[in-house]
Amino acid sequence: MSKRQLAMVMDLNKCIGCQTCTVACKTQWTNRNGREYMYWNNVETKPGRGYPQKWEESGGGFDAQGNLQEGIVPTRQDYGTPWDFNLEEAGLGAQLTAQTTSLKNGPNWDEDEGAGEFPNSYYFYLPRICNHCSNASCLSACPRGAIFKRDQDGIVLVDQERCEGMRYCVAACPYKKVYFNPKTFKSEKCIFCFPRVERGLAPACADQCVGRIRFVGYLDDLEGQVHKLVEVFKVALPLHPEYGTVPHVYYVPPLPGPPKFDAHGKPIPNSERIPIGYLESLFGPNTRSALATLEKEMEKRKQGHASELMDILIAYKHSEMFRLGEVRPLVQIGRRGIKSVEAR
Amino acid sequence: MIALLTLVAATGTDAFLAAESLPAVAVRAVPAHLEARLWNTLPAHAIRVATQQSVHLNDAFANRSLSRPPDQVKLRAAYDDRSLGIVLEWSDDTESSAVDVDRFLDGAALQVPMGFGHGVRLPYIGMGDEEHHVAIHLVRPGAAREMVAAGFGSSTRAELGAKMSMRYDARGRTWRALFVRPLLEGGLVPFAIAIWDGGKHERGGNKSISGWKFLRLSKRPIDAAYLSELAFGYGPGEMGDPMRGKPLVHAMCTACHHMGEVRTAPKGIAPDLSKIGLIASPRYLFDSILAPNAPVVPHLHTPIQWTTMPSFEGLPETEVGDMAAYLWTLGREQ
Repeated sequence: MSKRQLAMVMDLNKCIGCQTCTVACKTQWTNRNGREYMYWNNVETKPGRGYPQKWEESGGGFDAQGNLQEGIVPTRQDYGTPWDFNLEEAGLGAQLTAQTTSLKNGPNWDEDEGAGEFPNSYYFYLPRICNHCSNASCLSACPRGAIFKRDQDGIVLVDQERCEGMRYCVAACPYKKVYFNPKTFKSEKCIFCFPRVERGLAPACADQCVGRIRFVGYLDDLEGQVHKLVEVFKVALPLHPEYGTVPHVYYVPPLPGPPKFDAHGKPIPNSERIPIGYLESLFGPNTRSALATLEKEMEKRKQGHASELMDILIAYKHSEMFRLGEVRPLVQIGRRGIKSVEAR
Repeated sequence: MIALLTLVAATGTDAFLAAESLPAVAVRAVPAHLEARLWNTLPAHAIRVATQQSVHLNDAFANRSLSRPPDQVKLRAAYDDRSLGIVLEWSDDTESSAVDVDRFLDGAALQVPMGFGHGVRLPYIGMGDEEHHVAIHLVRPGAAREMVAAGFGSSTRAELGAKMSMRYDARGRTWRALFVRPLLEGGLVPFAIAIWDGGKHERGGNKSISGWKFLRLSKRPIDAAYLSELAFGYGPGEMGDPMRGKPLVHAMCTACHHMGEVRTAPKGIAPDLSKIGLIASPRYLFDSILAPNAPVVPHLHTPIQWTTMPSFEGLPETEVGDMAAYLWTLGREQ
C-alpha cells in the first residue's frame, strides 16, 4: 500500500463517447514503437464486449481468500488489429475500403449496440484506464518484481529494465489494462501521465475530456472533489470491486435513464431502462445507494436548494477538478509563441 | 561390517553415476556451430524433463499442459581444454520463432552452479538460492542471453562468455540447441536444463526442467569424496522404504502440499510435490524435511502466499528416510 493514492472519478452521466480521451492518450503515448494496438485509455459501450473483447471473462484478480486467479493473455483478434483505409485513392474518387481482408473485430467494435429492444434499448459509455489498484494483481503476478507502486501517489508502473516480457501481469489483470509490446519485448500500461502529474497537471485523458467528466486528486485530500465524491457523498464507485484488486478509478454510475415505453408507446412510470441489476454487476453493492443520493441531490437542486454534490458534478473549473499541487507546466505561451519554462 | 559398508557405498555411487551422469567426450576443439559434424557422431543420452509445477503460475492457457507426462531431451556433450559444448535435442511439433501479443517463443536454458564440489551444497534447482548462485545460459530463436541468479525473480543479466544458437528441423520436428561455455573444474560437473514450448504459452516459470545432472568428463578424475556425497540415497534401500514413507507423507505433508491426485490443501501455501522426484535429489529431499528453510529461496512468496514449513527434526531418522524415499518416487513412475 502506498502512502498516498491518486484517484480518478469519471461521471458516466456526462460521457458522450467522443473518444477525445482515447486520442489524447494515443497521441501522447501509444501511436508508435509496437504500441499501435494498445489503448491505455479506451471508451467502450456497455453492455458490450468491450476492449479487449470479453475482458470481463478473461480471469485474473483475486478470490475471496486473496489467492491470485488464473487468467488469459488476449489474442490480437481480441484487441482488434488496427487497419488503414485507402484514403489517398478515396480522395481521388475511389470507393473507401479498409485495407484488410479479415475484419472481425476492432477496438470499440460494438459501439452503441448496447442491449434491449427498441424502443427500450439502452447503452452508456465506459471509459477505462489502468485502475492503479492498491492490491494490484499485475504486481502480485510478476515473477521478477518488475511492477511497483509509487509511495507518493500510488501510481503502478512497469520497470522497463526488469521486465522480461513474460506477460503474467497481462494474464493477472482482470481489467486487461497491461499490454505486451512485441517490439520491445516488455509489458506496458497506463502510467497515469506521471510526468504531467509531477508538474501538477492532470493526465492527458482528463485534461482533454470535452464532457469534463473526469476528476483527479488524492483520496486523502479532504478539500478535493475526488475525496468528496468517493468518501463523502459516496456516489463514485469502483468498477468490479469483486475482482479484489482495490481499484482507484471510480465511476458515478449512469442513472437508470428515461422510463421504458409500453406496447402503446406510453411511458411506464418508475421503470428502469438500464436494469439496476446490470449496474450492480459492474459497480457493486453500493450502486443503489449512490443512485439514490444522486436522485435526492438532483431533486434538491430542482427545488432551488443548494447542492454541493450537483455543483461538483457540474464541473465548473479544472482548477477545482484537478488538485495535484502547484502547477508547473513545461511550456508557457509568451508574446512570441510557446516557450519552454526551463529555458534560460 | 566395514566391508559391507564399502559395498553399499560402491553400489550407491554406481547407481548415482548410472542415473544422473552423462559422458562428455574429450575432443581437440569443441565446434561452436550446430552444423559441425561432431555433434552427429557423438552418442546421445536421454534426460527426462518435467513441467515445473512446484510454483503455480497464473496463466490459464499455459497451465492446461502442466499435467503432461515428462518429455525426453537428448544430450550430446564434448569438451576441450577451454570449452564445454552441449547440444540439446528435443521434439516439438510447433516451431515458435516469432513473438507477438499472444505468441511465445520456444527456448532452452543451461544452468550450472557458480561453485560446486565436495562440501558445497547444490543450489536450489529453481534458479539457485541466496547462498548458492547459478549461471544461466538461455537461447531462443535468434537471441541468446546470460544471467546469474540467486533464486526466483533475481536473475540479472551477465556476460559469462558462452556462445549459443538453436535451429528447428521442420522435417523431423525437432529443435537442436548448442551451448558452448567456458570449461569448469573437476571431472563431475553439475548442470540442469530447461525447455520452453512457446506453442503451449510456456515462458518464465512455465517450462520443463530437469533435476541436477552431472557431466562426466571422460579424461578427468572424479573427486571420490564429492561423488560419495552426491550418491547419498542412491544405494538400494539406503535412504529408506518408500512404502513405509507413503502413509507418513500423506499424513504429515498433504495439509499444505499438493501431490498428484491429493489436492486438499488450500491453494498456493506450499510447493506442489507432484513431480518432485524428477527434479529433487534424495539429499535435497532428506534435508528439506529436517531443515526446510535451509535452501533459502528469495521471492518464493510471490506470486502466491507461502508459509514457513516447520522442521520435522523430532522424527526418527528412519522415518525421515522413508518419507524422503517416497517423495523421491513422485513423478518418476511415469
